[in-house]
Amino acid sequence: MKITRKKINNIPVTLIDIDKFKSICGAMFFKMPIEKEMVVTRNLIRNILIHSCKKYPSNRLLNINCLENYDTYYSSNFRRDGNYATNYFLFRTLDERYTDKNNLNRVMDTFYEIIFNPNSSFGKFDEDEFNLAIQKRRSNIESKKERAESYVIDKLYKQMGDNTPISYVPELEILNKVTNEGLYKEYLNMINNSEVSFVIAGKDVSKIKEFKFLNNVKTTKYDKNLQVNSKINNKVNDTIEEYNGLQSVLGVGLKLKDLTYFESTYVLPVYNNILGSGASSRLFDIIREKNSLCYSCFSRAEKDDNIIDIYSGIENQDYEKALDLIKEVIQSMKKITGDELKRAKIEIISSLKESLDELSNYVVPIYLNELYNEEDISKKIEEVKKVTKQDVENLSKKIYITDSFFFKGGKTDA
Amino acid sequence: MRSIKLKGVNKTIYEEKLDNGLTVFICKMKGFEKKLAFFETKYGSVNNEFIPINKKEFKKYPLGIAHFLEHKLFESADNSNVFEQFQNDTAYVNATTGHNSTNYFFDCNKKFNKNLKRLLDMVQSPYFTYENVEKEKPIIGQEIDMYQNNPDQTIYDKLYYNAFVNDPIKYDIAGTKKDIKLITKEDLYECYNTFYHPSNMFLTIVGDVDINNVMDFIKENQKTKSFPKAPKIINKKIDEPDYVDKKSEKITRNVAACKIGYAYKIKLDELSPIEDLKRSFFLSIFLRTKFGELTNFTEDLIKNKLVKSYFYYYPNITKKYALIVFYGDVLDDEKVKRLIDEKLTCFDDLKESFELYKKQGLSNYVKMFENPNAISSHIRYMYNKYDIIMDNCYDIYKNVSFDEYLEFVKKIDYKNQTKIVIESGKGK
Repeated sequence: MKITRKKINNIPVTLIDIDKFKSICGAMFFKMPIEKEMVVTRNLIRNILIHSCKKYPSNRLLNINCLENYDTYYSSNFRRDGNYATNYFLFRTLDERYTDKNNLNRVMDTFYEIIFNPNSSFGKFDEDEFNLAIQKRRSNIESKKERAESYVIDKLYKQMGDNTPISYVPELEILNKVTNEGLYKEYLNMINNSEVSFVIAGKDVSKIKEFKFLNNVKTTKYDKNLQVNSKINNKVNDTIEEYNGLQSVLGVGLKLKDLTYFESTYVLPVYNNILGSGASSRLFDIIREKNSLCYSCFSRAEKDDNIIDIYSGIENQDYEKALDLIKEVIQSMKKITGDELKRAKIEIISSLKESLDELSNYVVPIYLNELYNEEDISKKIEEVKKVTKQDVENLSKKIYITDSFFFKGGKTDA
Repeated sequence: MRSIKLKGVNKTIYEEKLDNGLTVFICKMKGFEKKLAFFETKYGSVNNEFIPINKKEFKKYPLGIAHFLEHKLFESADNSNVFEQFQNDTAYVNATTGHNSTNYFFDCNKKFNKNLKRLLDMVQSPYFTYENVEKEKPIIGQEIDMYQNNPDQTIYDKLYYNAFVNDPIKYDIAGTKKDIKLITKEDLYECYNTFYHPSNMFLTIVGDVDINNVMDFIKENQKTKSFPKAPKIINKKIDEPDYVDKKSEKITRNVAACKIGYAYKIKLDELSPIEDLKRSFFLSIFLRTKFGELTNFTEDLIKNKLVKSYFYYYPNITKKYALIVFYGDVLDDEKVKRLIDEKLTCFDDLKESFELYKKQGLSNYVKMFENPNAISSHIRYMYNKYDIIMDNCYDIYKNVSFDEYLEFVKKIDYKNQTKIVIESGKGK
């Protein structure tokens, strides 16, 4: 594998030559500081852009183009990392060993059309495309309670967020204010005012002579702090909401304070692995195996938000017992064993290594490494190895249980 | 060891049947970190009435027992935590139960043989007690609740339940809370001893491994274990009529909008593996041509206010039946159903999409060989369904003709149908 970095039209471009795959994958990233409305508007934009474009003004025509070019795959994505929002667009197609000579050029042409020539006119997106995207998003928000775990995640984040970006979740009141003209302006804002980068991986990609879609793009530099630090209250905020669903879902939120770069990047994943990431974690062992309270109980750490969240599907009558046990498990993290530390480090290192078996994992992580100012995978592995038992135990002293949200179900079919 | 050279992709799969009956497949993936192993028995949720080993009469077992057994094979006599042991050696271990098979697997990047031994030993050393069986019941109860809490999953489950009359495929793989309460350790041992004999199992390995070394290692491991004579597995013969069990059902759930699912139950003739593979390919192409990405079907439904925001279709193809499922937040049941029926029985303009999907089929087949998980799925699908790994899939996809496709799709009989409506309401 060979990595070449250069600037084209002032845009950072990373070319990764690797020949163990049969495909080429490229992605273009548009990053800027997040605003509350973006969790709705940027998702609408990604849906509209990937559905059709001026050259292929219906989803059907765009899909015919994909199939004609050896089943090329395009995707459009949105993510929030701390204080930043990123829209990114990705293509993946077979390399020239399996296609005709011009396939990649055609694919990159369509990639350009998707991002820069949307299905729009007179400062608006095509009305049908706009209405379709709005309708789908509206239903998605309205039916959130049908996906109990997603609903609990949103409610818990909103409760914990304290008006910081953590609390930015898709809501109808934001959607109701979106106009076609306003959304198109937000698209132009994304295209014209983002920090832009491009990454491509596959066989002989460094020999590609031209990336036409980079010629007319402007890029801006942002230096806002990535990290979100929300207020930590002394008292735990426990909320219960009833609903007419079958299974009850419990969410527990923890906040982290004053973590160093090494702690948030390398110690926190180890801590989270021991706490609740997988079948040998403490939460799985105590809540599921020892007390048979649930099928799954897991935790996730969001380093840029300085939070950890825990979820479990339980019976109504087990709410207090489950909550108390989860709190006990968190308290117990002040002491960990050498075996737990070893296992957690092995699993993290394994997943870093195994990520290299998937082509797109060469593309998106390069962007994230730059966003977080992180090291490459081999250096990351070395840093994970340095994490000690003391590091994890010290981290546990910087963690506070702040919130819980219980979505109380227990209803059966009529 | 037999080599299966796959045409069109320059790849070889190695196959060997061991003395105890276990079939092993190995596919080398040079340069890949991840090494995978899948240890699978051809026993799933539908095998719940059979003659147990050393018995003479048929016995019916509680629904969900194959899935329950899958959970319990992670227990060991010394009460050690098998997940921790795998994790110590870089492996992630898990298992899944389907209608026709149960699959135990791990992936790792180091100590492959050690992990493989652990997987083989774990699956081949059952340890069931009254306590560990009872302990599992509430856990699986929560797993059942988790799936049933999802309205789209409810539609899918109910369509299966109402489409089939006698075939146990109608029941949810995990069973119900009531079913699993009945399961005993004796039941589990009987099922295990009948279906987990090596002759009813196969092992699939994909990754950058030394083929001969791994094959020898497996043989050595199996030699250390003694197995009774391979039992003759006699499942209760199911006489499934063509008609559906229930034509329609209405339930109430706390959903934001009414949801409707439709299923078409289609009887399939028994065919050779090649013809069956072609048939599955044809059905998939036909449905995609009518409802998939090359149409504006869903967009038009939304635009015309016939569905609110989504409409999906999904073909489920077994050896004997295809169940074509459609579901979404339907606003106008009658019109949506009529549009589906019109589409299914219209055979104009199929040629262009046929050629495009043929091209896609070939691309997908090539792309599969850059993904170890996809290759293992392909091997397992082939062997579970056909008992062989075909070496000529590429040529089959390349040479299918439009005429045979057209002939197949024109013959499909859609008369056996069922419908489920989930109305918005508070429920009990």
